[in-house]
Amino acid sequence: MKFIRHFWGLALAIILIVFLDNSWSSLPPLGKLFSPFTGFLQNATSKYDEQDETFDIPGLLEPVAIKYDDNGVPHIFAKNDHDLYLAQGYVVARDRLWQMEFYTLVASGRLSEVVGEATLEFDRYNRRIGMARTAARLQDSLAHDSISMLMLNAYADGVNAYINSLDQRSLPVEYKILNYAPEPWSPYKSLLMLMNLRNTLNGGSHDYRLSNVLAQYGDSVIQDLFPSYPTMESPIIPEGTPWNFTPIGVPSVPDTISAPLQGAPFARFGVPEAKPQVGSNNWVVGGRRSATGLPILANDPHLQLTLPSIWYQVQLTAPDVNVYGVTMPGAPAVVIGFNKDVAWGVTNVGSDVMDFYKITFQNETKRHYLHDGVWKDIELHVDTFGIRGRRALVDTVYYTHHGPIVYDESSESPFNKSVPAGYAMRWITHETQGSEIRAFHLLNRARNYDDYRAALAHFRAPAQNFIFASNTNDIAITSNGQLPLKWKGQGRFVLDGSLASHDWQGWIPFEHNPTVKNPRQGFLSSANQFPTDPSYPYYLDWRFAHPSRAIRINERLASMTRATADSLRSLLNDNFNVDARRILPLLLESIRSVDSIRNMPEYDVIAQWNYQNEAHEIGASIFEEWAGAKGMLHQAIWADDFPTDSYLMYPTTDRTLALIENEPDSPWFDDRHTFNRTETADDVIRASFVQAVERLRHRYGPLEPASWNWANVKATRIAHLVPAFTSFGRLHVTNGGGESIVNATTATHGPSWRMVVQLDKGWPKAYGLYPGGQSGNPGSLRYDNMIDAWAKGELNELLFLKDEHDLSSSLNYIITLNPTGN
Amino acid sequence: MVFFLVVVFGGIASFFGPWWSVAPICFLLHFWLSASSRSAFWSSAVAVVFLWFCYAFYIDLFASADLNERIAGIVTAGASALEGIPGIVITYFIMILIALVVGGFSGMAGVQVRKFIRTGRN
Repeated sequence: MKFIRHFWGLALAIILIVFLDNSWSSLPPLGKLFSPFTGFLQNATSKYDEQDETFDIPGLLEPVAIKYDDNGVPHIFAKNDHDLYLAQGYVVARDRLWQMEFYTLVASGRLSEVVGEATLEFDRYNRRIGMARTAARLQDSLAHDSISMLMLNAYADGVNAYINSLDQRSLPVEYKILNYAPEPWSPYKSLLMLMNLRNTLNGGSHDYRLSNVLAQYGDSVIQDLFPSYPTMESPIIPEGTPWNFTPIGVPSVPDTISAPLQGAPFARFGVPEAKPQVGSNNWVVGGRRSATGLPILANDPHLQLTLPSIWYQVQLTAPDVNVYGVTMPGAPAVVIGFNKDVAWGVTNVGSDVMDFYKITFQNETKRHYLHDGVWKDIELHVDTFGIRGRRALVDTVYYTHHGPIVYDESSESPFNKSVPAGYAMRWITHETQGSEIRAFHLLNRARNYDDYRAALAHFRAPAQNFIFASNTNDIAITSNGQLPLKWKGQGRFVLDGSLASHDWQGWIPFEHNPTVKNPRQGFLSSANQFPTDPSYPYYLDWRFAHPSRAIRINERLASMTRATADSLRSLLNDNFNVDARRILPLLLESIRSVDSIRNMPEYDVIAQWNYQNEAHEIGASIFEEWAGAKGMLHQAIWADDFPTDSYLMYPTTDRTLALIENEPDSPWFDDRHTFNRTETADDVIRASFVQAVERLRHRYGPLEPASWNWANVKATRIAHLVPAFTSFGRLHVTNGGGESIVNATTATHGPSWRMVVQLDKGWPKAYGLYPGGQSGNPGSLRYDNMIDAWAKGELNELLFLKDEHDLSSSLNYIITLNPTGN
Repeated sequence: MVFFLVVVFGGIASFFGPWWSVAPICFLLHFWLSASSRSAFWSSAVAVVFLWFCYAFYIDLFASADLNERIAGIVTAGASALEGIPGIVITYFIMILIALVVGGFSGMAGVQVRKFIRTGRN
């Protein structure tokens, strides 16, 4: 008793401290987090933090000067390449450490280690598709590439120098909330960033859905509704451009073009569909069309809008390089940017580089599979998953020569650890040697067109449309990457893993990738559409992005004369709805004749709408809800025939619009669920309009500009990478745009970096910004300071310094990195 | 006096040590200087609350972005009743509560343990 009387206070104090020092389920470690000495308040920044400082950095060869401008962009001046990339790793980690490590946890399927069981299935998927294994293999295979390894190792040393300088109080705030600490960085982790990029841009597939359509409807419906080239298109390589090569032999189409299709649905993979919101625009006007007589180039990659932002601006300067642009946190060099002589930008090619093979196992042990008449061995890999607050989980992945076997939802529940059904994935991600780092090394130093082509030869995946301009008045674009040599249509459907004729047959030679230089039209562009018209001798894919952005961009570029950087800025913000121009007159004609519709106030709005998806337009809200890519009209036509929850897919927007235009009596307009009548196009158009209006009324009340305006309906938000951290994101961003609009801003995706570069014989002028800020710290003014200007469509002038001694009033403070004495 | 010592030595310890390093300071100072466990609780609690509050206030005075609002949003996620309350009120409330109990009980424990040792001797 006496003991208790004297020690209960001590016991309680200790219990309290232990409780408050640890996280419990989703509750953060409150003591650590709320103490002003170690917690989140230590992440609050003030203007007094931005002052000259010097740090001793192990591994550095010579001093490096880093000048920060008033937007928080570091301008790095190093005396050799090693120090340059070491300093890049250091400054990026200083601003974005938590984010870059988060990406590596995603790619390597380790998120559950810090988040817990909620992300286990996501991790399992990312492990099964093999990104971590490939990143490790690339690190080994790059050992012979002294340039790439120098960059990756130096970058890792820079990141680690920063990590080693941290203590509990200086940790990024997300570590404090989630209660973990950063691991050492390595080249492997930078390569995981490349894996993430490949997964984001090449990690989707329609194959199994289209196979299900084939199984249910047969080949004639596929030919009719899922054609291999759209009715309207404006390909990247201008039509009529000659192919300056002799094609190598293309394999002939075998007798069977898909795996045996039995049952419906025939397959249900846990593989995401390609996201139409992930895409990009780039274009260049040649000197003939520009006010300066030299090219002007623009690029805006459309990715998921997140905070911290996916991009980070930097200027990298060493004796053989002076380049400005954006880099991805976690990987060295500049990905999109410019130097004194050239500028370049990228959009995703998005050709079919992920195929699935149905595997025939010898028996239930699943140790052997049939290929080309021979039983081959299955390779087993055992993966262990650390899960916060739970015992680790062990999972086995089965590999064929095609690649890993991913699971089929029809035979395996998501949380069931049973043997996966037999579909192997062949994916470009696992086929290359990681030379992309070298490609960017060369591109950052390119002086002319030949340098650009030489750099591109090293870039394999994810294939990108590299647009290019030089101050010697060359413009060019190349749909570039390591592209599989396929028979026509190979991989539209799930393939038969036992047939050698279904294997990938080799590669399209680099020189044969679609490319064009200085076309007669005087401009070039890409918006993820078909790289070429059907005259190209190789098969790339049956489906690319909807052509509306491409059509609009090319129309506007074709009418440009004496273009300025501001003309290109205005095109970046173009909100014209090409689909509305194409189909709305026809739709209005159909609904006009119905009195009850014509009397609706919403009818007046859409009838008078100017086809602009501007933020304040109500017509845009009604059109998108009704006839946009995800609108009621598409559902009204296709949901009965191709229900997506039965693992089928809708025909493309282009095919749908063509059906309305040309085949109003098509049986596809008939609703299968009504037995006593046959609907026509008019019926579907009218009913879907009423449905769309009713949905909008239900969500936003009676027609009212304040709630029905397009910005409010589109509801663009920029969320933090941890979805639960709502207050770390920015909701209700007010701007225009849309999925099929040049300004491709949707609810969650959009222009993640906008750049315009005006080439010059002397010194280029460049403009750009992204919807975020240089700092990943929510306690910094530079966390989201560019969002408002981005939403308004403005661009910042980019400070591109000539050398270390170049003075500018925009420079703010200097950080000096010194080698530590060994 | 003991209040002042907790603020000074607790501040120094917190500056260099983990967040809870103020607790052993409270324990020792009240072991040494405080008479009753009740007064130790309050003097210790108020000293730690004062220390944390002043330091937090100092940081917030110069902060260029409102981190309190963002953190409050995370810890109160889903609690609509708390939506209208300014973030700084929520974060400071939690902070003060933690400082109060950790400071209070560790100071009180100092007196309690001292009494145990003293009575043990008698």
